[in-house]
Amino acid sequence: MKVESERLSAQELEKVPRLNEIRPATPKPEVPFTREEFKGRLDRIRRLMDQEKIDLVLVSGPDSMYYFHGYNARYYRGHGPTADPPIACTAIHVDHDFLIHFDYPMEEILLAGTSIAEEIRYLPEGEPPQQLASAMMRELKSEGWLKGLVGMELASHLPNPLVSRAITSAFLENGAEKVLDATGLIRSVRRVKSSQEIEYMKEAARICDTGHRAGRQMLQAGVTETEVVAEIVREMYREGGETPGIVNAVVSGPYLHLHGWSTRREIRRGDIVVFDLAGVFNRYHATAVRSYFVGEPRPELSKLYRIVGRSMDVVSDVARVGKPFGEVCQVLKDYYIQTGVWELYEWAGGFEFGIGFPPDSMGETYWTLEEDGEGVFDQNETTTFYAQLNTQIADTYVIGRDGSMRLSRIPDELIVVD
Amino acid sequence: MDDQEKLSPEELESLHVGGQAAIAPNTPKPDLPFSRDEYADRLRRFREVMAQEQVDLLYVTAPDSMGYLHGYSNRYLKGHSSTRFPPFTGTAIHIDHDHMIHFDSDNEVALLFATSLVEDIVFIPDLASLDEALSMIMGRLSAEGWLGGTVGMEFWSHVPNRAVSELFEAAFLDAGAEKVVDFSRAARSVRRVKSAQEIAYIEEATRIADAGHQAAKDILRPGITELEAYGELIRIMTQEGGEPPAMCDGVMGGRYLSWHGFPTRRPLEHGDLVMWEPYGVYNRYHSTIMRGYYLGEPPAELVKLYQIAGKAYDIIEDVGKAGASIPEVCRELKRFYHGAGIWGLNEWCGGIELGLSFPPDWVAEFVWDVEEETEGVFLENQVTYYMNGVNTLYCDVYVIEKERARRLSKIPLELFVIN
Repeated sequence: MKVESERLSAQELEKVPRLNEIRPATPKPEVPFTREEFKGRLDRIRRLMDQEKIDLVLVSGPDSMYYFHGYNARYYRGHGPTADPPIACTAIHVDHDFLIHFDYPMEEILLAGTSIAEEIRYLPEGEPPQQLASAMMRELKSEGWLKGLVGMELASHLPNPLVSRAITSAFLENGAEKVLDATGLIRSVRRVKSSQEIEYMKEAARICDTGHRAGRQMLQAGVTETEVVAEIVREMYREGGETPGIVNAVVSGPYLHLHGWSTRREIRRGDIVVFDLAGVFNRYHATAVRSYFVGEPRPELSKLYRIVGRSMDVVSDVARVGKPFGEVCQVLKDYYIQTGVWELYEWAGGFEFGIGFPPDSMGETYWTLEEDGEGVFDQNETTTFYAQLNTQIADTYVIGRDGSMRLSRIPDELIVVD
Repeated sequence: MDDQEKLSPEELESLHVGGQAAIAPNTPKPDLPFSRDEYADRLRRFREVMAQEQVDLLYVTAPDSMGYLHGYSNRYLKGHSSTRFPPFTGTAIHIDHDHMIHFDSDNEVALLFATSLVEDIVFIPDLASLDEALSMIMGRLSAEGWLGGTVGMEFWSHVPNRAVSELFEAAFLDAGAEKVVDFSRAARSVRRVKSAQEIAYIEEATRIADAGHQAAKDILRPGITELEAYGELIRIMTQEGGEPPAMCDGVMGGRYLSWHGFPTRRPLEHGDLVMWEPYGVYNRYHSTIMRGYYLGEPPAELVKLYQIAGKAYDIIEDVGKAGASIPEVCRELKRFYHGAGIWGLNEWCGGIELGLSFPPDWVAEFVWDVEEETEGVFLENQVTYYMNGVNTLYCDVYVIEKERARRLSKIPLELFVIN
């Protein structure tokens, strides 16, 4: 076909401002931590690698890459087409104080803007996983990094199993003695938070609380779940919040499917409405789950929430540095039994919270009343606590020497909206 | 704790309502976006492809595949969770049977009843170890006589992760499967051509994205941060019936345009070129419409470039019809770009399939690239976006029809100026 079109002259072409010009070629990375803090993180994992006799780890979780050098993207090809394999990952060697990041050239600007990694090796786009893995090995070999034991993050959603296997095969074909799963090791480095990380989580909690307040203002019979959540997320973005690892949701009605999306269902009088929210600041998350009642709740239900809400304070009192998970769980269980609510138990417990990227923001450490969990709380560890005894309440805590600090200021009762 | 409140037995009794256990017996009807006949047809086509690929049993794990087959829609599938919560959720399909067996955590009872038409569900305790879960899954499949031949899995899916995927593979082999193969491309091929209802949802998703553009002139101004603008965009699209997208929408001002960056706290400035890329979503079907907005008076050459480049969409509309050779469409586009003097600005021009998606992204399987002249033909009722990347911020969505490629967005093809 012939489309009648103007033509851009050579002189005009010359004058067109390029997208590449609008952005400086090498913007300074805007990283949310000092270089010293990043160095401390690298030092810690290298010490652990040394203890475990691991020579090289290949970090591929978005949360892990962010932790070690700040890289921050909304698209990592996690579930993308087979023509575009997910290849972003970062190599750390036990003997070297720098890291090598692998990515596609298309991400150069984003890396320059968000990551402190100076050694970046770009791999050719449009190649199959085996070719990409081979190219990666050539780079590592030239650095002398391809010997001994290699750890990969096999429980990360990135890269997918097929690409991950191609990388493992390439390691073994190019001199690595063995490849093992280093997910636990890599995640363990960030279990205890720095003061800066905790500040970001406090800010995330503040943002989360503004979402609750905005949602409460909006909540009434006749509005839909999606309308309420829209108001919440707008307010959270206005307060500086970011996109959470798991989509925030408002769910209501007789069938509370907590992992469901907010729907176009109209909220009715008599509904319990759960706000399952996480605030995010510099990718650090803080969650606060609260339940709202539209109308006049039965006194027993309000009483149940008061009793279970009190258990949130029990966690504050009992969970402290050096306290075994099992002891905290026993105190909680005793409290629920004494207050007559244990028969309503569905699940109570917590998990580490901190950095998160889609598709989810759950951390590695986990404790629950149903298990005699091993382990003790560490100073500046951050954890959620969910109390589900026919109730939906959750909060985020920072573990301290004399107790743990709750981050949300939203009341933990059944909040009545009339 | 002496002064603590207590529930009396009578109060406790009255509270035994709600929660998972009480919900299950009530069995709410699933709120499905498609007819039962359409789901049955999808299962039939899956089984046809299994026959072609000589796969006897398929264990589907990708959220989009499960949603396609039976409606299941979950915002948390343990994709990147604690190793204490291995993602074992999946749906088994056997080539000789016209029903599915779904395996899931007993934490998802209510959600499955509300969103999925699967009737045969094996609930596994949420705190079960992976060994226990695999034992239950293999036990049930073995009891059905579904193990023994070739098993297909989705190795390009982000869920389950490799650690879990390999244990599944080993369990299948231990339980009697002859071999385990990757079925990702085959599974994705089934949904490349869309039904009329799917197209209607993508049209609605496009209308929602268009609403995001219509609001842009009220939202974008110097001083507003990218995140604030993004929040306004989300609110508008949600009010229009939109849903959270599989991937964070693109909102980025002019300091540096990193295509895959999140919106930031940077305030927009006079002179910024803003990438505005709302993802409309309806019943999890996605559309993406991108345009550029200039805050202030843009250079005349840039305005002219957008005017010229926008014509590429007319070419696709005309030549990108059902049966058209994709290399020929690409050559037609290149002739146009060369003739207009702008091919030298090419960064990436091409298209990607759109449809049903869940986090972490919506980028689907079929990709075509103008520079490479990707092999193949366009199929009737295929849906593709076209990224017109000649130093321009343009993306639009087409449905391939018999006589043309129908562009879905009603937003004009030009550089928008906000003064």
